[in-house]
Amino acid sequence: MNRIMQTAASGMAAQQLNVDNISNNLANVNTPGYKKSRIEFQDLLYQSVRPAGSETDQGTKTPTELQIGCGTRPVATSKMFSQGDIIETGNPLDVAINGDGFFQVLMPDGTTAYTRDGSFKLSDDGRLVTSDGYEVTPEITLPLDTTSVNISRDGRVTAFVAGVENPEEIGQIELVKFINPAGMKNLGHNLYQATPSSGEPSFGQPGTEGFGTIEQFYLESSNVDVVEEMVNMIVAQRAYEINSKAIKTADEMMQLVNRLK
Amino acid sequence: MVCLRKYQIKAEGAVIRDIQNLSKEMISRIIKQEVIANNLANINTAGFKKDRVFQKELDSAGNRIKEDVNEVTVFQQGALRDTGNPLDLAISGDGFFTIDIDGKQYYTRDGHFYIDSTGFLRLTNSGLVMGENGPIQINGEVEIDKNGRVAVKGEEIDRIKISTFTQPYPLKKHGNTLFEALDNAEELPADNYSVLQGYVEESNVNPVEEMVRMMTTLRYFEADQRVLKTHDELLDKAANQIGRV
Repeated sequence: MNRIMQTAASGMAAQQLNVDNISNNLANVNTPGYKKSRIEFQDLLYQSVRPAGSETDQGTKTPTELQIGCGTRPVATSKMFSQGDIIETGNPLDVAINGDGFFQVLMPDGTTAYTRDGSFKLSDDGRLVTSDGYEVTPEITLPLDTTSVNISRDGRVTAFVAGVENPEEIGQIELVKFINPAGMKNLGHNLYQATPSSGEPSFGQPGTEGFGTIEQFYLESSNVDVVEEMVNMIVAQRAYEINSKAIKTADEMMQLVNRLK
Repeated sequence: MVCLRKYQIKAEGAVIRDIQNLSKEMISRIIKQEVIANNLANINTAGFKKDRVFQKELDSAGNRIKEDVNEVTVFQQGALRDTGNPLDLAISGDGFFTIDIDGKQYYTRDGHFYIDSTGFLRLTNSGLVMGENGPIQINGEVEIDKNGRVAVKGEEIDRIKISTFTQPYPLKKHGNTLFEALDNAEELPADNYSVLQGYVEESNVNPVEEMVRMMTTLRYFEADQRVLKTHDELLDKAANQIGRV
């Protein structure tokens, strides 16, 4: 009966983790560029109580094996990289990717991180940075006295400088793609890191084959669907409850055994 | 006097045998409860198939309790859930996805697939998903039709291998939502199915059914315990009161 308790406890732990994940999704319902994650479960190993072909007390052989499962376990959290809604903000440094791809960000330790959050800002020396101050690569620096910035759908950045008639081309936004984006590591701050399971990044210009286009004055909102998360939460809560009932039942059975003598 | 003693021995023998049978029955009820607990723990596991335990309580003569318990896996279709993820696949109908782990084939109804760093389609935390021409390599936008044909950027590259067996399926559970074929099982190509992209087959565990089974099993267990206790009291009377005369 200890096994019932363990099995049900594994179910409760799994559902607990499920609710943790759902609440994180819900907490990020308004985070630009946030991608919802989900937990996947698999059943645990099976314990063979009686192998097939063992003899019964009537001298016949049992045709099937008696296997008892030991519960469930979470095996993976995977990010769902579906497109979030694109919302107009009117800010010239807000850019959204409409399609696949990530912006590249230079981390202070020299490594590269990736993001879908295009709410860029300017640093004190005119460089394009993320909200946390990390530099966007390839580097884009706005000249002094810039009056307005224009970012085209294929990622070309041009600036109008006071006193100069023609716009000046100052950089090009480059996007990267991964064969398995779900395998990337979450760094928080809307940033992801490449891992062996995500594969090597492939670089490309926005709007070219497989890469999304850049939309200036827009932000990609979180792709969390509140209704879906609420439904998942109800399901998880009920599953948690039902597993606790299994523990209670095992407890009651144990009590009955104890009362035998 | 002689006659009485004979009766007494006979009665005691029957009571002891009853106690043994009852304890066997209680053990098989515990096994039943363990299987129900495992079903409930996997109520949210994609592609999970519930198990059922059958007890035969009487033999053909109808007078003796057997301890024999039999287990079957119920391969009933689980509900299909729309996830919108292009790498989630579900089978509606008969058949299994074929998964290769180090050259050994396993079968599953769990369709949480992903593309690994070398571009091959894999089951989460597990092996390669097999197509009719071996592992499936995908590099780009993928579309899978209801016959399981995989098209990358509009070009057909392979067809997902859906295997089946003659019923009852000669499969046993391996854990990680995989099934393993028994030694003499013959794998057949399935033809009565459709593959749905962007869907996942949920666990086929029905919470109401499991709760009812759990409650009844508990109450039967309780009844067994009461009867066993009564037998024990009888034995106590036989040994300590009748025996004293």
